[in-house]
Formats: sequence, structure tokens, C-alpha cells
Amino acid sequence: MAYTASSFAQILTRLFHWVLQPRLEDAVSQQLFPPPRSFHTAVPEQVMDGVLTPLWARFRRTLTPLRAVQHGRIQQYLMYVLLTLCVLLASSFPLDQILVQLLGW
Amino acid sequence: MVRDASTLLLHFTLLLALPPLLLGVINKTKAWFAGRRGPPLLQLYYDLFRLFRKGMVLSQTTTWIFRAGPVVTTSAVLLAGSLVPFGAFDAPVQFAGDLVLFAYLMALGRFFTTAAALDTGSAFEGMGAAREVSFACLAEAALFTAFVVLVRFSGSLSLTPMFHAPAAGPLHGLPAAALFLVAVSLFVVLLAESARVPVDDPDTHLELTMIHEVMVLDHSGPLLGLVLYGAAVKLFLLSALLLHLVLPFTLNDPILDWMWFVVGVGAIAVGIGVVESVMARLRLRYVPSLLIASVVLCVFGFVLTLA
Repeated sequence: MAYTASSFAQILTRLFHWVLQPRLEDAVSQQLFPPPRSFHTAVPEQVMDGVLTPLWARFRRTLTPLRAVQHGRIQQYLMYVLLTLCVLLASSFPLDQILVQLLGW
Repeated sequence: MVRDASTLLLHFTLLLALPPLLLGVINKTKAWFAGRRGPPLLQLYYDLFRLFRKGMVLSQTTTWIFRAGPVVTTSAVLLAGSLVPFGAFDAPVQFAGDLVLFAYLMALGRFFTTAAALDTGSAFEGMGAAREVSFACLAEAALFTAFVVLVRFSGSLSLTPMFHAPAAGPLHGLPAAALFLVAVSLFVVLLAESARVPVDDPDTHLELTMIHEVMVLDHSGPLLGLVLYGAAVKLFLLSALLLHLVLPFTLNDPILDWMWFVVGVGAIAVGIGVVESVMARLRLRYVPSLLIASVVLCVFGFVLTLA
């Protein structure tokens, strides 16, 4: 008989079964001459499979349309740079002060 | 300076010499309750002396981990002993956050005990190791929650000021209630960590009930001696910590304070003996409930310190 990792952790997985949700496959036969019995237990990765992987899949799905902006055409990338510079310039342009000086608002 | 040197010397002398006596006191108390004469008070000293003179039998399946287990465990608890304040005196080593080092030195000792047990490859010892770590998970949580309450109470992150704070002023009202809850919780942690009734029964060698004893079945001679000694030191350290909460006052005289400490730790050993005499071992499935209850007690204590 070997003491496995699963049996080593069994007390804790039972105690915290409400969060760890261990899966148990125990084929018990009620026949008079029962066939060989099988027993299988596994603790699923709650954080990885239950939280992180679905979260990441959703994140990917939501952001997939943004892939269209990355296509490998240098000219358009330069256009992005130009547009960004224009936006930055416009946002730092002291429009309100000019309006105050010009129109006396 | 001379007083400091003598304090240091006494600290380490008591740390090294006193622990086996506590087990003698516990056994005498149990014997007195059962109407027996019981083993001599110094029985564990005789046992250790006998074991250290013996040879060792080592299984061929074991590696260096098995031999390192008792050595590392005993060294770790002795190192932890330099962080614990004895009675009215400061610990030889103290710094902010030493409570974490204390808890993890205990954990290191436990890790090596369980690793040595698993190293034998025996399913029986694996079972004991599994039980030990499962219950330790909960006992450690209770210990840390108790520390959190004391940190909140004393405003310090070091064991010496934390455990000297209850003796600093008169205790009444909510702080006293909080400390009482922490003391009860620490007592349960002490029983669990030292493998005493009602968590474990050190006298039994029955498969269904063993936790600590099963892990050390394969040790013999000096290694077994180290295991027994390490367990006694652990019990002594936790008793020394608990003493600050149970009898939170000092006598303002170094000699009287040292005597007070020794008597106090002995009284806690008597208390453990009484618990072992009047209680049966808990069924294994109820042990987690006991440990979770001690965590909850500490959480209540924390809530009281917030008020």
C-alpha cells in the first residue's frame, strides 16, 4: 500500500470540500458477485479552472476586435503616431486662454 | 551588564534543562489523578540519557532527510526559544516581526518531522504526517490570530513587548476579556502542537488515534532522544508564552521572578496533566472543529480589542 499525495491531503480536502469540490468516482456494485471495483478521486484546480481561465477567455473575446488595428502596415502605424501627436497637441493647446484674450470672455 | 549576562545564562540554562521536567510533572499529575505512584519526575532525563548512549537502527530505504529530521526540528525549536521572553525577562533576541520567525521556526521543525516520516516510505507514517500537517494548518491559523490580538493590544510586532504588555498595567473590562479568550485559544494550540490530549494521546500506540507518535516510530537511539527532547522544548516554549497571559504580573525582584516563572510553567504542566486526566481524546473528525473554535475565539478577542 502506498501513501499517495491525494491521501496525504485527504483530511484537508474533506474539511474544505465546499471550496475545493473534490470529484469522487466510486463504482460500488450491489450484485451478489461484484465485479472489480474502481475508485477515482481528483481535486480540480478551482482558481485556475474556475476563475482565471474563464476570466482570461472573456477578456480575450472582448478585446479581439482591437486586433484589427495591428496588421503590419508601416504607413498606417505612422498614421497612428501622427494622429496621437495631433491629439496630444490639441489637448495641450491653451484654447480657453486664447478665447479669453481674443474675445474677452 | 553583569545582570544581563546572568539573565542570558539563566535563559539558556532553563531553555536547555527544564523542558524534560515538564513532562515529568504532567505524568506525575496524571498518576496522582489515577491513584498511581507514576514514573519519577526526572524520568525523561533518564530516558534521554539512555537513548543518547544507544546505537541507531536505520532502515535501508531512508535517506539523509530521515537523519536530518530530528536534528533540524530540535535546532529550530531551540532557536525559537531565544525569541521567547521567560517570565518578567526579555528574550535574548528580539526585533519587530520576530513573531513570524517564531511561528515559522516551529513550522520548519514540523516540516522536517513530517519529511522524515514520509522518507521512511511507510504508509503508516505517511498517515501520521498527513494528520500532523492537516491539524497544524488550523493550529497555525489560531496561533497567528492570537498573535494579531496581542499585536493590537500591545502595539508592537515583537514577542517580548507583546507578551509583557498584559503585565504592564491593571487589567479589567474588554482587554481582560480579550486576553482571556486568547489564553484559552493558546492553550488549545499548546495541546495540539505538543500532541497532547484531547488532540492526540502521547501514551497510545493505536493506529486509529496516533498523530505525532506514529511519525517517530522508525526513529531509535539518539534520534529518538532528539525527537523526545524537541517535543519537550516545544511544550516548554508554548507554556512560557501562555504563562504571560495566565499570570500577567511580576514580583519586581530578579530571583523571585525567575522562581515565579519556573513555578508558573510547572503550574501549566499540572494544568495539562489535569486536562489529560479528566478528558478523553477527541475523535479525529472533531479535532478540526476544536482548532477552528480556537481561531474563532481569537477573532472574538480581536473584535473586543477594537471596541
